[in-house]
Amino acid sequence: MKLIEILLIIVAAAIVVSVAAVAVINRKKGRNSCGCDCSSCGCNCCASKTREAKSDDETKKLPQ
Amino acid sequence: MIKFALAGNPNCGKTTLFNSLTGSTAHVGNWPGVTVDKREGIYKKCEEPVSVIDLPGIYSLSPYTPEEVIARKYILDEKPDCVINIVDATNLERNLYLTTQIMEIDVPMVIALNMIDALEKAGDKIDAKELEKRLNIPVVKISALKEQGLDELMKRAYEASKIERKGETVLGESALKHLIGDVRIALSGQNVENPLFHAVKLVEGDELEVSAHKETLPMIDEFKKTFKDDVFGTDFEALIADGRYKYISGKFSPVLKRKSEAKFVESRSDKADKVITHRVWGIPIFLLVLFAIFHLTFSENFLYLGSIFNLPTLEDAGLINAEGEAINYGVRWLACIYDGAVYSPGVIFNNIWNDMIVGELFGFIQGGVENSGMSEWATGLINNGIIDGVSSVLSFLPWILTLFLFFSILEDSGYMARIAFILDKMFRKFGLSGRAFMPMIMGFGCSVPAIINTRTLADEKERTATIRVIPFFSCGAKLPILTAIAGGIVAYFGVGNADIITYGMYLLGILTAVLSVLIMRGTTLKGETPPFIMELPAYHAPQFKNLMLHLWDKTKHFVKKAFTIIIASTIVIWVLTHFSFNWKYLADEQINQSIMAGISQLFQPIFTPLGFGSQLGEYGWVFVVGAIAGLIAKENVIATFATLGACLVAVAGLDITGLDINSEDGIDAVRAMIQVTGIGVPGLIAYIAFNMTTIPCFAAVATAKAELGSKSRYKLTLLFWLLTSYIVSSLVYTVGSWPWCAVLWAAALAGVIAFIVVRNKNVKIKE
Amino acid sequence: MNKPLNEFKVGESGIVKSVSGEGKIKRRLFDMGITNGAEILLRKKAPLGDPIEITVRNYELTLRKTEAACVNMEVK
Repeated sequence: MKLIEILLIIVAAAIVVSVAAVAVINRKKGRNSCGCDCSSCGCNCCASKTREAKSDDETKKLPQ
Repeated sequence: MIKFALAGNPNCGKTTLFNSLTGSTAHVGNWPGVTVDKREGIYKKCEEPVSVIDLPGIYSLSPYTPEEVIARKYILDEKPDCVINIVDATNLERNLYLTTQIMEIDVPMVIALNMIDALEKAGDKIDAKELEKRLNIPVVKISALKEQGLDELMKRAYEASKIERKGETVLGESALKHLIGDVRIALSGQNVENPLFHAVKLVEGDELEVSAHKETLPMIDEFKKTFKDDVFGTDFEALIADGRYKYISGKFSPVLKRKSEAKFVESRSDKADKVITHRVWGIPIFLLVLFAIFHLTFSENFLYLGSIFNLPTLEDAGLINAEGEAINYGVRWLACIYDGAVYSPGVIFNNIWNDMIVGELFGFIQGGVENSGMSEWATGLINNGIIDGVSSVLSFLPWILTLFLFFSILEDSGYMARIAFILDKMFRKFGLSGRAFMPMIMGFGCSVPAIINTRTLADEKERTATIRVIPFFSCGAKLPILTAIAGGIVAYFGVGNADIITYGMYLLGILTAVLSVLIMRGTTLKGETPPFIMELPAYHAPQFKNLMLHLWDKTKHFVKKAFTIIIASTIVIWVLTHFSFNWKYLADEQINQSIMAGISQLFQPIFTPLGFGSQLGEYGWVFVVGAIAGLIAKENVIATFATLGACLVAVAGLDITGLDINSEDGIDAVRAMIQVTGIGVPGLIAYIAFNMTTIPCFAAVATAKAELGSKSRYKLTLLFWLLTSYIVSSLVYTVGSWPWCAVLWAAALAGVIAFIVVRNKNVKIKE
Repeated sequence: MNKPLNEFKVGESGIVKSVSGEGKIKRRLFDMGITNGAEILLRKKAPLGDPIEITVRNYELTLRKTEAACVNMEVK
């Protein structure tokens, strides 16, 4: 097998694995894998949820 | 980081202000209720960075719809450092009604008097200083659109956030003064936060409040007994609303000096509405607008100029040589715009994109790969697996963008809200309100935002029914399936007209939606028709910048999807179709021994009643693969076709002349599939119908799950989608193949409806 | 003369006398500025005769006749 063909296999496998991994991670985080770009459709459901989680952490750390 | 919340009535320009402040590109529209969830951005021009939160629009702090609850909860529970209350200066009284409620919360606030430019253009004047004095809250004049007064606003808000503010009420002079005062003292004694706000809401009898303070209720009832009003008796809700508005029109509104003294002024919007929502012309105009949009996007005979002037085709003019190729490069460009008829803008955009850009580019790459000396499987994976799949999806960008542009214009101008007004009565017949129209029409763009937008619907059952039928409003990703298969039918069978098939399928989707709403509202989701009380926003010219932002976002999303989910799916499908169960590489001709063939042949019989199952023989499973891949994302259907079509051409003994399998629109891939499997027109149409009405895509399913709230309702929804698609496409197939079946189906449908009607009547009588 | 808002003709205007109706609807009507003393002009009816479009507190509002029936008006 040529080098470029081995490279091709690696790249193709990487694409499939990473897309699947991102989808699984999103699901675990409770984010729905919003198919549509949320900033464009006024939902921002994914973005706001992750930020919420983050800000929650921050407030926990800070003594109030 | 300090947090400023933007609160105000729907459609008062909160999101425009949010975008201007934070440099975001959130979606802005001209109908009440575009923003249905809160979102955050950062404003950097203050002394310290400020987190700005855009909340859904609300008319009052007693919520009515799910998205209004979000806004109230945020202000009360998250305690922003400052609330920026955006007040539409052109609609002062109603906007200040919310202001008088936010004032009662112990939170620093400033008022942003928005749309000052529009107000002053109309010749009216407003005295912001005087208003500030009377409200005892900083007031800043701004124009969110023209980005005027924003720095001043943020400066004042920053100053205000440093000073504690105690809630104040305008009801202090009303008859309720003592009652509210007593409840407030009682609540303060219980260490309740924001005692004044809760006191007022409790006296009002606000649902959320009453259930949150059950233990205080008996005491309040005691207080209430001592109270009696001459006009309202003991209708505390009316008393408080009345008190607020009386105070506003007495004390606050006089700061606004109108040019005209008349009570009811006729604005330009009103004049436009006289025609657009006319009693007779309203509906024809609406239909004309819809037709115009489809004509401008899809027609290959723009304004029928070709037919009217009997224009010559390029062949007649001698610009095409015997091989069917343009004689020079200039003619190729001309062919994008004209051939016997002028093309519509959508088609021109499409031709230029595909013939001159995508086709050239990918053709060049594929040529390079072929000559690179890589082995057969490697060129196959790159050219047929990846490039054919991705380019077949990318090639639909122009159509999707054109259609999306027109819908954005309708939305931005304020016409969408009028459509709800025009169609409400029709919608009520189906048990929905005109408001449900908005998420439905958004469904033509993408189901995900459409499903989320159903939050503007106040009624839970109406919401569920609407979410379930949204996928039937064929989204942008389903368009490629439609045009490719319709194109394939016309090209192979030489029957019909691709445009008519496309329109027809859109109509079939709408019809399915209407019927299923009717059936659902008659059976599982019975309920009163929800009320319809909605603001009609003034018309305004669509903002060019805004439109471009919408389009840019859509493009970004589409391209991103093509290079992630679609590319991964096509690679998987290619691998599964080119390897046998013992992991031996198979050439294109041998796809029938592949893993994919083995698996999907198992499923093939299920689809027999739908016309694309076992009757298609040994290669029929390719349609099954497309349909199943489509459950992940509908773009996959056509990407799968492109990959498998290339294999089918290679299947031995095929005689496909004049076929360009690498064409970007997927039509030739469909032709190859038709030729190999021998599928007929009814089966193909049924195939489109199946894809249009079945489970839309992973993203939409996840969104529906989140929005429906209950697990059982979500599972029923999935079942509903599967069942509907199965029934609809078997109907299409059987009626298409054997027309007499129409009688059977009509009888069955009539039977079901009659059964529901009779049963519901019996239930009513019993009650 | 008193009559409910749903019986108004196009172009007729009046003053709100009282608002009745079921909880949520009444609440919404109040929030939208339909309170006692508010002046309302019936601007137009939709192509199918329902809903109606009114001007109240200087803006345009649309509501159905069934909801308008909750609003008792004094004709001017």
